[in-house]
Amino acid sequence: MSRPQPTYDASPQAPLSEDRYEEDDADRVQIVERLSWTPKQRLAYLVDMVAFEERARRARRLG
Amino acid sequence: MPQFQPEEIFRVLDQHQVEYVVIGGVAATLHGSNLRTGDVDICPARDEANLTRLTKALQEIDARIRTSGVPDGLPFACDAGFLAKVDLLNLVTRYGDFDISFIPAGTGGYDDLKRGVVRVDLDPVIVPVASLEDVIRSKKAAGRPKDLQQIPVLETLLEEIRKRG
Repeated sequence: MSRPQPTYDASPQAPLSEDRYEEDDADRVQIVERLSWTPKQRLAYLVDMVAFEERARRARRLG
Repeated sequence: MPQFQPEEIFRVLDQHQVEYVVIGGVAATLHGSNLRTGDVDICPARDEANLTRLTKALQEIDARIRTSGVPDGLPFACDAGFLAKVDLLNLVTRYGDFDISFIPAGTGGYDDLKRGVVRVDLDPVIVPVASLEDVIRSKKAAGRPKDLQQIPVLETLLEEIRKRG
């Protein structure tokens, strides 16, 4: 099984929705996707996300 | 800042035969949560033999007390006697931030959490993870805003897991 390719929202914060239901739906879609992954893939995605954020933070500091 | 490598922390704990349960955000991630976390939280057994094994694991990963303004952390007396006296340790290690909680909020500690433990295969290491119900119970009891904000997502996850039987 191939590892899921991470996709990131590079904006500083997730967009705020006036409709809480939209946020709930977005979370549910992401959760359903993750439930199709293995625990190892879920952890790898988190590690990639943290590394990506750290690189972005360093780039902002240098910029 | 050390790169976040939770699997390396689990590998070292396993190598030293530490008895523990993964709790908090990484436990939620392993269950399928989409919430972001940047540290590993565990609840270890508190008997002296386990504390001695934990001490050896902490030494191997260069654990130091995490504190703001000191990126490399502060050294501490890493022995079983010290671990027996503390309830919570926030550490920085060569594999990233690592928190130890002997009595997580809303739980009775290791013996309580191990009843619902789920063994997760992170090949080559099998990791003991707190049940999602226990993760939610603890976050509700902790009551911090950041924990409470996560509850709706974790309950959605629990609902989806239950749908799948």
